[in-house]
Amino acid sequence: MKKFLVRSFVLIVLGALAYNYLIKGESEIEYGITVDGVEIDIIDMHLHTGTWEALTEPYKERYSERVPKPFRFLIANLLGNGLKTEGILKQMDNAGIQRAGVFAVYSPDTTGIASNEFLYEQIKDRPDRMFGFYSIRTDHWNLNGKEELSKLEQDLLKYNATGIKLAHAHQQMRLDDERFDGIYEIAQRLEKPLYIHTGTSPNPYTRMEPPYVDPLYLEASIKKYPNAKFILGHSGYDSYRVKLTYLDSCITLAKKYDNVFIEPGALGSRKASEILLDYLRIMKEEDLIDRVIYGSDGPQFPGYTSSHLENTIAAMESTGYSGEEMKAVLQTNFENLFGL
Amino acid sequence: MNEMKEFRKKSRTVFSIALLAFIVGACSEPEETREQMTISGEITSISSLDGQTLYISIFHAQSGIGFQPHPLYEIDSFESQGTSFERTFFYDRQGNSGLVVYAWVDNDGDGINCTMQSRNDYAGVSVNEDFPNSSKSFDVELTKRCVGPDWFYPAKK
Repeated sequence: MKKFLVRSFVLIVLGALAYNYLIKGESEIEYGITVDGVEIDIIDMHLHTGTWEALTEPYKERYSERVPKPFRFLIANLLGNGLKTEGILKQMDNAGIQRAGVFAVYSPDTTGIASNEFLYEQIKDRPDRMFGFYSIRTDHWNLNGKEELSKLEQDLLKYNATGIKLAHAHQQMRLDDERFDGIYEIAQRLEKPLYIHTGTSPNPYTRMEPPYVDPLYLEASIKKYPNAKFILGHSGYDSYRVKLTYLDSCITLAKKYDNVFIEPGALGSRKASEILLDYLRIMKEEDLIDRVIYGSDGPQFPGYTSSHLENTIAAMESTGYSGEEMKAVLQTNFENLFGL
Repeated sequence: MNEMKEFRKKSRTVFSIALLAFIVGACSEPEETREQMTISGEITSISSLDGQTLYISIFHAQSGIGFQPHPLYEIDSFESQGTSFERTFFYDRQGNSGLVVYAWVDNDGDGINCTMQSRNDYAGVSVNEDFPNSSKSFDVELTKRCVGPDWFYPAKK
């Protein structure tokens, strides 16, 4: 009985919060920021869609741990809605972000599945605000690799995709496995930049060994497909150990190849707060600001997209980024690469 | 006005789902479906294995855990200094079938299955899709350099 009363109380509190949250009009939203007189229309290139049902059981458990026990019975509904069109847009609005990349994923071992079809349904009515990065299933590659490549190509064309998303560590693919070169060939031929997860991840069953997380293992493919654009997601951030373990590999590749870009997803999270300043300082010292494209890895939970951006902006100010440099990272590098 | 209607509709949905989850959660208890298994095997290679560390991983061949069935769901990983191994682990029959034992030999002793500079670590698998109904013996031949378990399995027969 006591449990029931507690849950009812939680529902009432949440209802009140949701009421305030839902009635906020779009006209009240201010997009972008101005730094030193430079107007920046921020693009977050790395957001996720999906459903609670399509997450794996271990991943659901990990997600649930973030929520206080009395709230956990609500998580399926809250998270599910937060990853659909309105939920994603609401998180973008709260962060003052007008445009974002949204990813499909096929990681049945680790984070679950958000199919290309599902992604398209979520973003199709807002092409002005949400850019689709479509993906490919790879876990039966010896049996159906050709069919999967054909489906990827069709999906990229059918949905007018912005780019391709891969996560080798989640999809259990070695970065140096040449069987997957067909994906990079499609990226090059159709001129669809590839976002590739690099670095470790705390998600259960993610591969942690260097061949799955160190972008140096991708060098042969980067070299082989010089007109494919490779965005090294998370900048090789070793999220499991909270270190910049594979950042050197990203820097080496970006300096050596013009078709390599770097994204700092999750480095603006609270967990990474001690290394974010180092990261931004290194990128500036290495003269690679023109290769960094902002992304957060949101929405994750309410407020994450916004706090990730705020932390990143504050850290850029602390490390002496000018207004123009911030605009490059937060807006124009993406626009230039994707021809917007 | 429409916003209010929409909000009430959403609130009712949230409340109904929460109530259902509350009732279901209170009435059900998880059932233990795991059982202890022991497997053994021998590892051979086209290169010498004397004094080398072997890295061995055990996977469900097919797993239903997650949204859709998929191959190679890891159960356990360990190191071995000899070519014979025996390992005990918990196997969950619910939603899972078969067993794949993957192994690789660390020929250069760096603990990594090939770096970009050193590419001489061999790997192989032994597959029994009928496990645990049949053989618990897994002999692995290391034949291919610098590859993961998915290079071998699943594969056309």
